[in-house]
Amino acid sequence: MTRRAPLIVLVLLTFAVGCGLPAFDFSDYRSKAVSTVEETISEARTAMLAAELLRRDRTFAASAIVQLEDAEEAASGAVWDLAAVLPPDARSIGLRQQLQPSLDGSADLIARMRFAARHGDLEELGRLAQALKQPIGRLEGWVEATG
Amino acid sequence: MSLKRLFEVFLGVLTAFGGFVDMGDLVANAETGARFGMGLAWVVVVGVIGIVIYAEMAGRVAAVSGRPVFDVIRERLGARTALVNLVASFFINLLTLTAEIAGIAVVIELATGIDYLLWLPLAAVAVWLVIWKVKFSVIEKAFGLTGLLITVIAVALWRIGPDWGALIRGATSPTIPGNETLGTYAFFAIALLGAAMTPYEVFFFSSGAVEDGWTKRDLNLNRANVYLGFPLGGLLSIAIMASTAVVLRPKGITAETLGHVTLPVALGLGKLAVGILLIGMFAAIFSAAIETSLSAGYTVSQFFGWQWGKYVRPREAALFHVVVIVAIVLALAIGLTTLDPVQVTEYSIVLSAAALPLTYFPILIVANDPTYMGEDTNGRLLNTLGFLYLIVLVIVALATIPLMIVTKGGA
Repeated sequence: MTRRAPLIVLVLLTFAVGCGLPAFDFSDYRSKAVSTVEETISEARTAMLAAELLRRDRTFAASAIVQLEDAEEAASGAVWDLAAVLPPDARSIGLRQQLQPSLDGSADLIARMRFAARHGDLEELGRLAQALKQPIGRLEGWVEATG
Repeated sequence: MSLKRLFEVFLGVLTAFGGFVDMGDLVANAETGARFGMGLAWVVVVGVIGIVIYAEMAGRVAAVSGRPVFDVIRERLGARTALVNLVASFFINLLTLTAEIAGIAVVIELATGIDYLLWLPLAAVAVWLVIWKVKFSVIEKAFGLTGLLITVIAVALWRIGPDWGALIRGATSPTIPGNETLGTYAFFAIALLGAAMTPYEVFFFSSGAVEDGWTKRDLNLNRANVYLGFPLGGLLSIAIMASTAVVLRPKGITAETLGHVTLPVALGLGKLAVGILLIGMFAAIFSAAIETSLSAGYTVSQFFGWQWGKYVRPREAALFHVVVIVAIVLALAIGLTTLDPVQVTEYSIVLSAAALPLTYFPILIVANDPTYMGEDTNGRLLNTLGFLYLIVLVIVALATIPLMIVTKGGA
């Protein structure tokens, strides 16, 4: 039994580290926020590029719609992941209040872009892609400021 | 050399070139290009040299002894060592097969817009049907040559007209981008190495040589395939990396789906080229799905000493075909759990890297044994390179799992 103890501890530690421990302090919360924002920017930029290529008739509608769907799913997943973490202190609550509107807004716009693409409404798709630049710009500004 | 023979060699080189890239290469190269620019291109070079060295050995063992490497490994190193090799390679092969079948379904999804999960069972059945009905040589050539259509990525890259100097500087003076860590850099280096040196490639290559009836006469064909076909495939991998480095990285896009691979092509060449790319990706991934399915049958059958291969009637190699079917069904079942195909691919190539010494060490031993190889054992240079690679592979294998945990799978 004693000989097995280190192995058990090692397995538990592996699981603990691998599964991701909950955010304990502001620094952890901020690093989680950074990865969420970066993921959202990546998905939003993917959606904007796919929309642009579709509008310029440089790709198939089916392909662009799949990419918009994937972007929507990944962005809303990332936003949800951050929203599900309890902010550990007042600074973290402030950070959440600062980021959440842009994150939600981006995820919502990507979802609406997917909708527009599916309905073949390329004008609306272009308008939404244009609108997406605003929340993404704010998020990019925050990442730059955060370093 | 007769004209017919020359054409045969040329076709073999093209087939090896077109068949080099699979789901793992597409995902790993696109993702690293988007995240690290050209900073990990050197790993593709290292991986290609490694697979060239060991695939040549595996092909030579098959041509000289008339037996595939796994068969000889079991005889030369004993059942226990071969069993460890079998268990590790079968598990990784199964993950790779899952990734390839899911990849086929995702490519069809990109072409039709219909969810890939609906295509998964059809993709699995199609893979089995082709294995069952189509001749080995036809499978090899038809899919290998159609896979060449992926070169449209290189054409798109040229059309986009990137700053070639910056790309070459990025590749020759690699740096870790500011938003990445040494851990993620090392993790993706391992993923790229695993993608380039996936174990199924050598098992399939040597068993395929036996299926094609290679003899000592075919040693030059073997060399041409690996010395020309594989490096050309490596160049294609670098082109995939460069395309996402040029188009996606400046926009902060991280390339986490197969659809991301199509974006630079759409930008550079337009709709028709995207269609060509989808056909090429379909063929390349389909070919890899067939190879991994057959590899499952090859390794298990060769371990147990059953009749194997497509060069005999299915009735004569019934157990071999049963293993192939079981592997396809298991891969389909894993795929239907809705695990993200790209994540499955990432895990399969990273775990491949962890098991590389188990695959390549026995090949090095067998290729040096005159009992099987006669006068065609490895030369001094090849042995030195093979041994150096083995040291690298052992270090990589030891580092893989800790890195996977520390970086949370490269996140």
